[in-house]
Amino acid sequence: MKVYKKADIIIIGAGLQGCSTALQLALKKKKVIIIDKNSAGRHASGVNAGGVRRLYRAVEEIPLSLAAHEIWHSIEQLVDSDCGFRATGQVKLAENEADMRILEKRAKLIQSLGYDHEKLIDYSEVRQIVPAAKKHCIGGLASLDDGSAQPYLTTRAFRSKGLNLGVAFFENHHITSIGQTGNTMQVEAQGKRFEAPILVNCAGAWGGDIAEQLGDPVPISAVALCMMVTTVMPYFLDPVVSLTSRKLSFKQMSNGTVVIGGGHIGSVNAEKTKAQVDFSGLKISAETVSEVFPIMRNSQIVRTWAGIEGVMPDMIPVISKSANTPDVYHAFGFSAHGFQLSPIIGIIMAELILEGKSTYPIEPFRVDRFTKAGSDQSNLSALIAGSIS
Amino acid sequence: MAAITARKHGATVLLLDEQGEPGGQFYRRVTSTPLEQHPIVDQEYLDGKTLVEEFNLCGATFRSGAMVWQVDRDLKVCFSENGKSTQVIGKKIIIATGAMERPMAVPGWTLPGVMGAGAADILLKSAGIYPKRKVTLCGSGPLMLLIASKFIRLGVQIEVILDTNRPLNYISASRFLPKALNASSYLLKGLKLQNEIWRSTIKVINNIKDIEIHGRDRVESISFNHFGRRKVFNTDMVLLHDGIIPNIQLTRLLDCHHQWYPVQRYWFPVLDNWTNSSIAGVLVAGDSAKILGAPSAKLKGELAALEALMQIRLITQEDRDFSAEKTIKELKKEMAIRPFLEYLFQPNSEFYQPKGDKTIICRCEEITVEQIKESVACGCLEPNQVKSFLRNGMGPCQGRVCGSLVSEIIAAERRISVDQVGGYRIRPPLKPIPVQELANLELMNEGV
Repeated sequence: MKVYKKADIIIIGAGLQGCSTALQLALKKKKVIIIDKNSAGRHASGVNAGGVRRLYRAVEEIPLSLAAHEIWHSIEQLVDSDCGFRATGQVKLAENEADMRILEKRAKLIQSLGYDHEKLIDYSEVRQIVPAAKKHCIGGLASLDDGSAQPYLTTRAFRSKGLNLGVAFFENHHITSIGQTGNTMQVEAQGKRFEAPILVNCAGAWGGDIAEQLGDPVPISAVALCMMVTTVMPYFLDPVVSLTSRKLSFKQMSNGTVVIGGGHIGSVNAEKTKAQVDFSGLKISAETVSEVFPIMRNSQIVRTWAGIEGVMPDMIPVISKSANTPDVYHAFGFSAHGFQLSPIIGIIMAELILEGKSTYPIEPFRVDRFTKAGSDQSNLSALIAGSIS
Repeated sequence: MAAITARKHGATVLLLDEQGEPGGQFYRRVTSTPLEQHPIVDQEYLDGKTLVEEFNLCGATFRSGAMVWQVDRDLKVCFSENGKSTQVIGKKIIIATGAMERPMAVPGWTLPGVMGAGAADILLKSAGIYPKRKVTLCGSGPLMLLIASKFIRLGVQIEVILDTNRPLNYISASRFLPKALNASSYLLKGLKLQNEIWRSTIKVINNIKDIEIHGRDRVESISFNHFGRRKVFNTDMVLLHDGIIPNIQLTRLLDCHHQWYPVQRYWFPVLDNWTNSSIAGVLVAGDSAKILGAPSAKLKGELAALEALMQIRLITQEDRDFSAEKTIKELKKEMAIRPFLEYLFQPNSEFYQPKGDKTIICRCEEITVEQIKESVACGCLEPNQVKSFLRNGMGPCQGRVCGSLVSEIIAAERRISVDQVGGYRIRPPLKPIPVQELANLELMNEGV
């Protein structure tokens, strides 16, 4: 087959991580091809809950998250769009004393590590920050400089900026083969052959399939995270709210609608192309919402949806050079909280590819971390709830 | 009809219907219509009584006022009834959601006082309500003729009938006329209705273009181009109609494979000969599969039920084939008229390619033609990308009304076929439900 297009780098997956990586590489004057089987941001990147959150992150992710936080506050400089970002805060509420103990322990841990972005709030502060919360919410943990953005707008902004910088997008291109001859990676998609010395896997829920083909198998699962949105409500809530021991992610958008998520899992078909909402899970979300926010009981649910996301057993992503194939890099498996990290992931990947190492601590995200120890996927759903965007 | 057939062979049947009584749109309230003795009621409508009475005795569970808001690939069905929602699981699901009026996005179509002729017919059939002030009818199609004749008999003040059918349609339909003569009762009925209009004193205007409806808070007038001259009629009400299209919200929600039918310009779920959709266990009968009219819908319902019965092993394949033989024959006869009607009443581009960039396409979110065109220029290639951009199709109707219009506009802008553009992915719930109602969702796991 004739080579259709050559570049310095081929990226698989035009989700946020792929677009962010492409953007940073293009800023360094590299020629980039990005290939996606659907349109950019079709799955988790475009339809997630949009949480821009440092609060309650896995300790390994905190340095990355703090760096991403800085970029979010001036996101317009990077992608010429504010991406709908609003720093309305993030609050995790304690519904009882046991919850409060958990949050206190977390606050202590964060402090001991030298961070100060998560702060305990007491009963009266909860009333002030989340006045609509029912009285049984006795306290919480807050990072008031966090907030939320609009996922689809964000994906489109990253994509547009990449396009402006000369990134070649090939959307709706199914990859049929990946090969390597000498120093050249070959990718075939939709009857076209693409070549570059370097390949980057940003394929999200499908990242495991690509990694496996490149000799780096990982125990990733594709899950469908369910969400719902209500009709316009009078303004009653600023921050994004989550709970300590129940699954909920809850926020009021600037247009008044309320987005409710929290990690209830729907089903994904075998080909991983279609996600289906499960109403027995959303029923629990609705129960939780009714209990915590009485104002919501008569609000109308207009739409529910599910996005396909790749979840790792340890709930942290793969951000790594390939362990087995030279000139291959991975950034996938963000386990339902990659949205906030995306601006920094592009920078890290560009460093890793162009300089051979990153200035950020990415050792915990090695692709081969599962090959030694056994993995435990037994309580995936509970894990997701604890770490959702 | 599917329910009656299924019950005959011992299946447990749950029939969920948004309306208060069985009968669908065509036979709506046929057993309790306030117009039973009225001269405007035609025999074909009253024929539905037999069917409804038969259904009432068949032993199926009928849940009236049950609004189905979710059906998934695992055949779980959620429905809302008197503010309470229930989830049931079916062994087979037969979708028979019928037809809806083609959306008619002419400038001003969202003004109060504008409605579909079909909607007007429903008000008449179910409540005996008809306009007491000046009405203009605009469009074409059998239902338009029907409502015109009913209004004439009721003495409704019809200002003018604006017939949007194009002369070319008569020519393209004529080649199907010989076949249509096999179903001459339809032709006669059409002629009779047409004749009623001709004999009346009502003004009928053909060959019109660039229709616009005007008014501040409600309809005041309608204007159009007639051989290069702008004409205006004052009117209190405008009834629009350009045929009906399948209501595909449920099959779209299920992500069944759909195709575009270019003659009548609508989407329909692709089915095999036995009404199976591309999703296992989901069958589709009646006008929600393709517009074939009420008598065919009954026959298709019967076929769907026989197939479902065979799949759940209540009857054998031989039973199915034997019982279906007569039905298939009748169906063939009924279908003879369709090509003629479909070519005669081809939709007018006035309505499906809306003029005027400020014309609203998505009523729920108030999105205009112009905005959709702009988003296509920005690189949105298909309805779902436009939807993510503009929120069209995200309101309470979930894109039921604007779905086909948005696909049409994108296809025209990109100069490709509507099939290539595709349609909305539909998200549950089909109609809004309160948070509290979802919280109280009752999960029933028994099969029906």
